[in-house]
Parts: sequence; structure tokens; C-alpha cells
Amino acid sequence: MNNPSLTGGSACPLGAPRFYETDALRQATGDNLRPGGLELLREALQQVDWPSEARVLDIGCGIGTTAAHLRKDHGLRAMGIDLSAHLLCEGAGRHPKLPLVRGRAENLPFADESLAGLTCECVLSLVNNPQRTLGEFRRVLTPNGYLILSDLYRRQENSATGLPENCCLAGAVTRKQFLGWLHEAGFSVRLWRDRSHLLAELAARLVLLHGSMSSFWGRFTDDGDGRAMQQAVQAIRPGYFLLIAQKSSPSHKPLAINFNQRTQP
Amino acid sequence: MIPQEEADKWVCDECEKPLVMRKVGFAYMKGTFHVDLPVCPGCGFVLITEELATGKMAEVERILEDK
Repeated sequence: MNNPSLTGGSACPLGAPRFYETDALRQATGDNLRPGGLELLREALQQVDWPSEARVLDIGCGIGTTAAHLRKDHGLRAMGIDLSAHLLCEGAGRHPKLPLVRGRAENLPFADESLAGLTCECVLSLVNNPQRTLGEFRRVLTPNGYLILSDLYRRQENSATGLPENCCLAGAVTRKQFLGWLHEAGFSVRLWRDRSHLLAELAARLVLLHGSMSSFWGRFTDDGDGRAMQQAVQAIRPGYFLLIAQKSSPSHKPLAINFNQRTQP
Repeated sequence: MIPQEEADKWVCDECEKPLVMRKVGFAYMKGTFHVDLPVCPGCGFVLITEELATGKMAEVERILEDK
């Protein structure tokens, strides 16, 4: 059985298996496959008051760690969706009763306004069409529903980065661009916090495990030389952020955002 | 980080015991890291070679300090 819409994972084909499926990354991130583990989710949940039993979907759920946490520790009817059959299969073994489905973030198999919340951590920079995906997020959220999102972003605006088009870091955009996308998609940003130190900590772990960042990136290049990739990554000064956005009411224009305003605590 | 064969060459000067590989935790800035390093089983002395200090550790420091 083969569903063409689910094959490829073309946003980040640094090679097969996909980057986020590799042991090279997982050894440094643990089961969450992203900077900070559950730390940013916990931080965001201090600000978002989902009622018990609320339906929440974790997009890019991997093996289901976040969804399992939301069910066990927060009493939510959490589910997960991911593109990776490999990770979902492992998740089914770890969490047999957890609803995990295979699908793309750009085309969620959920009815309009059927979910009180979405979590999406270190995923949007991987999708083929992030703007369409944000529109899809808005479609499935109930009015005033919350989106908790963390991801990579570019702290240095640089269009000629030398990053291969198929590199997941190529999907990272600047803070200004990202907030603009949210605004256009009909979300109001309630919180933005820079959490780049978590990305730095992940990079440090990768250095300790693989000898250097160049060695790590070299595992995903044809010739094993990761120096060019490393230089390209450094050029965009990748950072990491946490944000909470709320689906704007149709009767209200989305809040204007002062892109220069710092919203860190 | 340090190959086993390299660790096997070292003996603790104080305890006169050969170093063994153990997982060592260290904290730097806000991060906590765990790595396998040669340790004296007697006094807990941890060996960080010059190569490690000026190579991987220097890169880690540069990354964490966002340079």
C-alpha cells in the first residue's frame, strides 16, 4: 500500500531515512526530536488553559511523546499526526492506546473547527508550504483555539545562504516573516519568546557526540564533508523560538503586530 | 570523546589507579551535558586532554556563547 501524498517527505530529504528519523539526531535530542524536549511545551501550558478533555492535536508527533504527556499530565484528549511511518510505528509500540495517525500537516484529516488546540514543535520549518499549513491549522481550530508552536528561525536575514534547497534549515525564516505569515493566516500572537539557547545546547550535544558540527553535517552529505553546510548554517545564525497564537475571531481583524517589540518576559 | 585505547594509557598520579571510562556530567551556562570521559575510580579525577579542550570543548563553548 502506498499513498503518494505521504511518500517522500520532500521538505527535508537530506537523505534516506529522513533527517529527523536518524539516530545521529536522536542521540542528542532524546525521544522528542527537537531542542528542549518538553521544556517549551510546559512553559507554554502555563499560559494556555485548555479545559480538561479538550481535543488537542500534536502535529509532527513523532513517537507520540507530546501527545502522551498531554493526556497523562493534563487530562486532554490528545492525538498525534506525523508523516513518518517509521516513527509512528515505534510510537504505537510505546503508547498502544494513543491515537496516532499518518498524514501531512498541510492536509489535516480533521473536520473544520474540531480541535481546541494544536501543538507543533520544530515541524513547520520542514513542511513544503508553511503558509498553507497555517491556514490548515486555522481551519481545524475552534474559534479562539490556541496554537502552541516552537521552531527554528533565522536571526540573520540572508537570502544567499548556500543552504541546499532540500535542507530543513532552509525552511527557517526570520521572526518578522514568520509573524507576518501568522497574521495573514488569521492568528493573533499572544506570546513570542526567543529560546535560542536550547538550540545551542542541542548543537553542543551534537558536537560532543560527533566530534564537531562539520562532522555531524557530513553524515548527511554525499561526500561526507559537512564544512560547506556548517558555514551555510552559521551564515543564517539559526535561533529557536516559542510562540502562542490564537485563532482570531472572523468578526475581528487580526491584531496588528509590532515586529520590533520585544515580548520576552 | 576520548578513545578507550587513549584512556587506557593513563593512571591517576594520586591513587595510582588506571582511569576508567564513565559518564560525566558537566554544566556550562544553562546547559547540562553528559559525556563519557576517563575517570579515576579512586578520587574521581576526570581527564580532559588538551585535544579535547582545544577541539570539541572549544567548539561547544563557542556555540553556547552564541559567537
